[in-house]
Amino acid sequence: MANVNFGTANAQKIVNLWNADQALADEGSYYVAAREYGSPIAITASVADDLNTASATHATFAPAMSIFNQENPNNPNAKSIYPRYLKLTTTTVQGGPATDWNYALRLDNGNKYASGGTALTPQNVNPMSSNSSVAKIYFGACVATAAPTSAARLVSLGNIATAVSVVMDTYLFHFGDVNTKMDQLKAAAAAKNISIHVPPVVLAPGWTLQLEMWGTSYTTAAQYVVEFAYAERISGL
Amino acid sequence: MANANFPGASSQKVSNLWNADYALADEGSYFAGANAWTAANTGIVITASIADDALPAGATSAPNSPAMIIYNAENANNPNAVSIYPRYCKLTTKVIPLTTVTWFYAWRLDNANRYASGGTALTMNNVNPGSTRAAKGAVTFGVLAVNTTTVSSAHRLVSNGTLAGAAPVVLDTYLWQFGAPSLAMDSARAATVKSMTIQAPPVVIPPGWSLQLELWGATYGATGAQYDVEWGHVERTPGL
Repeated sequence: MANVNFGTANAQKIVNLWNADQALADEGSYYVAAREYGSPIAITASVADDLNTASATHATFAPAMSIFNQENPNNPNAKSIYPRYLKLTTTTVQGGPATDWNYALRLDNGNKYASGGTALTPQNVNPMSSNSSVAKIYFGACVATAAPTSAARLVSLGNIATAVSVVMDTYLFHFGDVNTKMDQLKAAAAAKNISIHVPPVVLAPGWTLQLEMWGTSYTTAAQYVVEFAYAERISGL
Repeated sequence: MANANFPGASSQKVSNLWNADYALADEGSYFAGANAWTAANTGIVITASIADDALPAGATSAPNSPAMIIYNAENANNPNAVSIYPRYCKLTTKVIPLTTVTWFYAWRLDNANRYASGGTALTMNNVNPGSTRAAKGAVTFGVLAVNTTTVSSAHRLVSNGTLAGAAPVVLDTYLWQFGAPSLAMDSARAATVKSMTIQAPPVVIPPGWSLQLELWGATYGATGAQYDVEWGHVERTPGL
């Protein structure tokens, strides 16, 4: 039986000028927050797990990155934030005999950032646009206001690498791109690029997305150069 | 000769703001779930001693002991019922399937709720907190008991293959991407820790149907493999 809602005839012919990112940049909706290469940022040391309690050794409470959408949820024209990619370049490896290096991405309702870290300045990649970002972004040894609330949503969790990383190891998190491939040896002694597929995430007004990183026996702080790219739009328009 | 049904002129110019996943997330149709990290850090155990994927399935056959079931609980008679469109499945190995030297998988559709009991239910989160839509799909991973001893005559094998040509390694990560034809599969398959991408076809789970993941190895012994799992899917009324 044919799908009555989706016939197989009467397709419309289109010429697709831009796919996603470049179209978003053209309308002034695309931003990048990057750190100068010579100024890496240390994340919190000795974060050993991702348990959901307020402790400096738990990645939920000591996130490596916190992105808050400052828009008012009651504003019908408020923008949502759509992460596109996050790139971390290792300049100082995580100290300690770590046997695994892990991450999680967690949404939560409210501004979860309390202190610490370094603020990143969003840049509109289209200088012709006067749009400015509604995101407040911190990377580094961030401290959360509290453990995740009951509204928190774990949207991705996984292992990045085994053993201690190598200086110049680069991790690229792709958001919402089903064509992302993850084909890499995780314990290679040589520096490597590692792609990580994560789902699309919509950071609604008044919500926070945080990156949590941890490892077994992780002691001294890892340091990264960070680059974060995202779009901002009124949802559905 | 020109194609009379598809003339060579009169195309419309567009700029595509969102490709697939983000448009689906924006409308509140995209759901993702993962098992939470625990102090034991051991992931979720699956059934041990699954040696084959034979049909009709025996007690040690993967169709009767799937590692994962996704069930569309919508009523098939509801014209507005949503279908489920898998987008990706990611498994991270916490305990390897001893002493498997070759590790296989299959994805199989069936026209029934295959899930009876067992395993761990994943909380499927709408990745857009601005949407109030809740997931209709029930996703369970682990040691699963099925409702019938074997799949129905309506079952459809939609994908199968080999995950590793040598013994899996702790922290091996497998990523299935559904319906991404340009995806490459370029991973090493040797017994060294690795991430591996696997192409799978687009799959539609209609109301009342299940999709199950089957894992097996000819010499897979009495200790169940254990995984962290992450799953993403879309829910939409077909064609709308």
